[in-house]
Formats: sequence, C-alpha cells, structure tokens
Amino acid sequence: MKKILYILLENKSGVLSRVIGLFSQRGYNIKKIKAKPLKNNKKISKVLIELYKYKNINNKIKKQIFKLINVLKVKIVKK
Amino acid sequence: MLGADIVVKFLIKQKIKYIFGYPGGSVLDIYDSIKRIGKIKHILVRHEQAAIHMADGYARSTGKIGVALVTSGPGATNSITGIATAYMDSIPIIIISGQVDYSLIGNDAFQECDMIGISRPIVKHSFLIKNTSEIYKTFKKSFYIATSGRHGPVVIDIPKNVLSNNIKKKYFFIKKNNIKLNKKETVKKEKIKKIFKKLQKSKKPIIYVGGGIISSESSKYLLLLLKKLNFPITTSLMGLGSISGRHEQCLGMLGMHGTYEANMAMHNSDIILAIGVRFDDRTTNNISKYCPNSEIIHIDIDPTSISKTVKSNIYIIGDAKNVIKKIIKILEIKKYKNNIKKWWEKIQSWRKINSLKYKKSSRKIKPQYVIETVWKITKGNSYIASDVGQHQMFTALYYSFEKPRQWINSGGLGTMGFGLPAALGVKLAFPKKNVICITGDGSIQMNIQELSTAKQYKIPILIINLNNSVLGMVRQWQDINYSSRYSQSYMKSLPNFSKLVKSYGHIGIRVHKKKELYNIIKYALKKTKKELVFLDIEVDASEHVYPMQIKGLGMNNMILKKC
Ligand SMILES: Cc1ncc(C[n+]2csc(CCOP(=O)(O)OP(=O)(O)O)c2C)c(N)n1
Repeated sequence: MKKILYILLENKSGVLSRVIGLFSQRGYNIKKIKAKPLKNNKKISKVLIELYKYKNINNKIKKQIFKLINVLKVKIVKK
Repeated sequence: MLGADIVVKFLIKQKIKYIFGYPGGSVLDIYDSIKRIGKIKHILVRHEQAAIHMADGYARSTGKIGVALVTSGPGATNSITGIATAYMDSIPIIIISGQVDYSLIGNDAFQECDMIGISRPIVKHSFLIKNTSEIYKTFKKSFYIATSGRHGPVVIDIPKNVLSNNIKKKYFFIKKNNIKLNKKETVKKEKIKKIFKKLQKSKKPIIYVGGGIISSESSKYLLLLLKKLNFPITTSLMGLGSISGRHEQCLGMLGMHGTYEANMAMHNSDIILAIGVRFDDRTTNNISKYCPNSEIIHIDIDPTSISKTVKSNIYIIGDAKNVIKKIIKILEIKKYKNNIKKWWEKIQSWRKINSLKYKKSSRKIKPQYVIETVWKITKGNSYIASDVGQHQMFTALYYSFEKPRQWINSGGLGTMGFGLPAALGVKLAFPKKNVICITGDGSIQMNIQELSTAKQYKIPILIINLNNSVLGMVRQWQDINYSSRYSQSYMKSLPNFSKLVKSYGHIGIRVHKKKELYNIIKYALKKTKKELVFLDIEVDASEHVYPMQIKGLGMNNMILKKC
C-alpha cells in the first residue's frame, strides 16, 4: 500500500517551492509529484506527492504543510 | 499615490515608531518617503544583521511588531542571520527588502538575489509584491500573519518599480484579510476535565513552561494556576521571567545547563504539564531516556509542536492564556485537592545540593559573581540582553528575572552578535529603564560596529563584557569532550576594548579588581542615564558553566562541578 499526499493550495508563484522545501529540509527524496489547477477553479491547484517506499508520508509532514499560509487542505490518501 | 508612500503611510497607521534599516538603490524611494512624510523614526544601523536584531529586541521587549528595512542583494543577504534568529524564537518582525525592477528579476541584475528563495526556510511567510496596488493588502496580511497563532518573521520583497510607481485611482484601504490560518483550537470541555483528573491524581507533578507564556502574555494567569495547584515549576531558557525567578515554587531553568532540582524533578515526575514549550533538544537531553515515568500534558498554539520530539499523552492546541484560564476555572468549580507534600520534601532535598554554588575565594573575578552583583544592584528589574556563550548561561542561571520580556536572548539559534543590537532596540522602546547587554569578548566583536549607531542616536545602555579572552563555551566543550585540545578557541589579538569604545565616543572602563566591581557597576548604571558605558571585566577564564547534563543520557545525569 502506498501513501500519497493530497494537497490543495492557492495557485500562486512560489507556493509549490514552499511545499517541496519542507521535504528537502528533512532529506526526503520525492518519487513522484503531480500538480495542476482544479478544473472548476483555476485559482486552486491540486498537488499529489509520493515518496519512495522507505520514507513513508507521516502526520508530521502533513501538519507542517498545513501550516503553510497558502495551503488550503492536506490529506494522506492510501492507494 | 506613490508605492513607497503607501508603505510608509501604512507603517504610520499601524503606529510603528521605529524602523531599523540601511539604505541602498532599490529602496531609495522608501527612504525618500520617510524623509518627506516624517512621523516615523528611522534608525540607521551599520550592518543589516543588526537592524534585524534591533527590530527583534524591540519586539521581544514590547510584544509589538518590529520593522526592518534593507536593500536588495547584499542588504537582503546580510539580514538572513537576524531573520533566522527571530524565526527560531517565534518573534514577530517584518522585514521589508528591496528588489530589482520586476522586469529584471531572473536576469542576474545588479544587486539581485532571490530573497524569497533564500529566506524561505526561516520565515513564517513571505511575499513578493508585483503591483503597487497590492502593497497595502500585502502589508496588512503580513502584520496579521506575524502576530497571529505562533508568531514569527514575515519578509516582504518589493521591486523598485513597484515602489516608484503611482496608483492613479483613489486608494481603497481594505479592512479584512482573507487568510487561512490554523484555527483548530481544540479546547474542549472533556479534555479540560481529563486534565483536571490527571492533575488531581498526580503525586509528583511539575509544570514546565517556555516562551509561549511570554508571547501569549499569560504570566498573570500562570501565577494564579501555580497558587491553585501548588506544583513546582521550571522554565526553559526562553521562559525565564514568565514567573519570578524567586517565586518559592520556581525551580529555575531546566535542561542542558538547568539546575539540579529542575532536572531531577522533571526526571522523577509522574505528570508534566507543559505549556508553550516545544521540547527543544537542549531541554530534553536524550529523548529515549526522557522522564520515564511521566505522562505529558502539552498545551501549545502550534499543532506541529505537539508530539514533535516527545509524545504527549494529552494535548490541547490553543492560546496558552485561554487554556490556563479554563484550567483555573475547573480547578475552582471542582474544588481541586491534592497532597504532594512528600514530593515537595523530595524537591527540597534536591534544592539543598545548591547546584549553583561556586568557589568565591579566588582572587580572580568569577563570572558568576559579576552576574550576582548586577542582580544585587538591579534587584532583577533590569532588561538584560545577552549574547551567546558561557556569559549567556551564567546570566540565565544567576540573574533571577522578575517579569516577562526582560530577558532578551537568542535561544533557538544561539546567535553570537545578537546582544548589542538587541539591547539598543530595547532601550529605544524603554528609554527610562536600565538596559544591560551582557556579552563576551568573542560575541561583542560580531556586531561591535553598532557602537557607532548607539553614538549617533545617543542610546545609553550598559555593556558588560565578561572578558575571559577565549571563546569560553567552545573551550569548555573542548575541555570536556576533546581532552582540552584548544583548537581555535583562543583569541590572541583582542583589542583594548575600553580604548576602542572611547574612540566611538563612549565611556570604556577596564575592571580587574574584584573589590571594585560593585561600585563600578553602580557608578556605570548611574552614568548610563545619559551615556553608553562599556565595562570590560577581566574574569577567570578557567571557569565552566555548571550544572551540565551529560550528553546522550537522561535529564537526571548531571555534572555539578569541574572534575
Ligand atoms: C554566529 C555564531 N558563531 C559561532 C557560534 C558558536 N559558539 C557558541 S558559544 C561560542 C563562544 C562564545 O565566546 P564569547 O562570546 O567570548 O563568550 P564566552 O563563552 O567566553 O562567555 C561560539 C563560538 C555561535 N553561537 N554563533
């Protein structure tokens, strides 16, 4: 089972780098990342992040990401 | 209206009294506005790092926002250490940095640097303003972000063209900001009840508080809580002053250089009521050996602080003041009762060890003695800014603070060079109060150029240099962990500080006689009503800071004196 981070954020320049920064600061290597604006609201982007198996997405990083001002929603989804 | 004028008018509207900064090409419009509009006082520093520390000292002592202004490129990069310092201690400051014209960004333009990128990991939030019409809204948001929830620094990067542009249409001042914040306060009744039960059942409780008490202004309520519970209390380095150091329930500071009684009480406790603390590694020692029999009740405004390093059994995310008030209320309604007499007896037996004793007989001046003397003269009522090193720990241990916001020091980042500029910021905020900077020969040289700023604006503080002519704290570690191999901890070329200070136009006095110390400090304090005085005190270089925890072990494993 994979855990994927599902994030909704304001579609503004620099926001993605803030999110990614939280991973790199902790030495996490991202395996897959997908980001695109919502179909019905271009002001909001959806980002999906998957890490390598050995680094699981945890609640700590979820809380850290939610703390960012431009982040609207964070969920861990299992696949 | 001109972009730069919007900036200055906003600051005036927010009742900002001082702005600390250094000019440069990209912010000259703001400097021109400051000159034209007046009403706001600009303090010209000699290095941008100091501007941030001054704004920081101002913010720490007043609880209000501090504002700093730097130019693009080198001005911005010079400010980074200051921003990181404020970030680590959750201090609300606004850093306005200039930027090259918006159209030039990304072109390696003259004095361009990616300030948003460089500062990203050390700000609560940052903004790059693209249009003049966004200035007001962005500032409003920034002020809100800096002082809401867990406080912190906010960077506002403004391109030159945005400052020099005019907005033609009539300006519209927004009232509300639409910012999402973590408003997840979980102060539920059941939780308060659960906490009540735990507290009542506890046989060996302790309260552990930190900087959160100070930033949420909850000292008054903490005192009530203490009275109701009769628990012992210990504070982190950042929490000093949240309760009078001489309060009979206060065990002093805990952690790496904490008192014996504080660390023993933590280790042996069954309940830790932790409020506004983040369980920093300097306060926990080895996490796996941390307080083995304690349940932790953690109250903090920042959800990411909960169970970050140490797992909490019960937590509440919320403003310390609100939560403490609620706990007090339930204690009153449910008639709290407890018997912890035995626990207090145990604590008194630890206290009797007197872990702060030191040899006084020596002819040399002991650094501890200097701090004790300063305390005797000021009775714990002075503002004290410190630098980083042994002198900082001696001050934390031997000066008992009476009130919150008197102890101004870089806790989280441990920034040498913080003391002098921060003290100047404090003195500007409280011109009638005693403001003392306690520093070391290493630290003071990191921002000594600010003596010139102090001269220009006539900011009379007292600087006490505990001069051991070594990098004391580094040497202590080399003594303990590296068999006294002193690698680069000795400064063979110290200046004659009193002469140096005199050349800046201040009073400099070298002190090397123990019996003169008391009178000289008293004299110096009197002089600082008008002038800056620098006391260069020759202290015993062989002195170590004790108590000290043994690295990698539990809270209770401590060295009490030099072996
Ligand atoms: C900017 C910075 N560089 C290096 C350090 C590491 N450091 C911590 S304490 C210390 C020595 C401080 O010496 P001094 O200011 O003379 O104070 P003392 O320990 O002698 O009282 C050093 C180098 C630091 N905290 N900050």
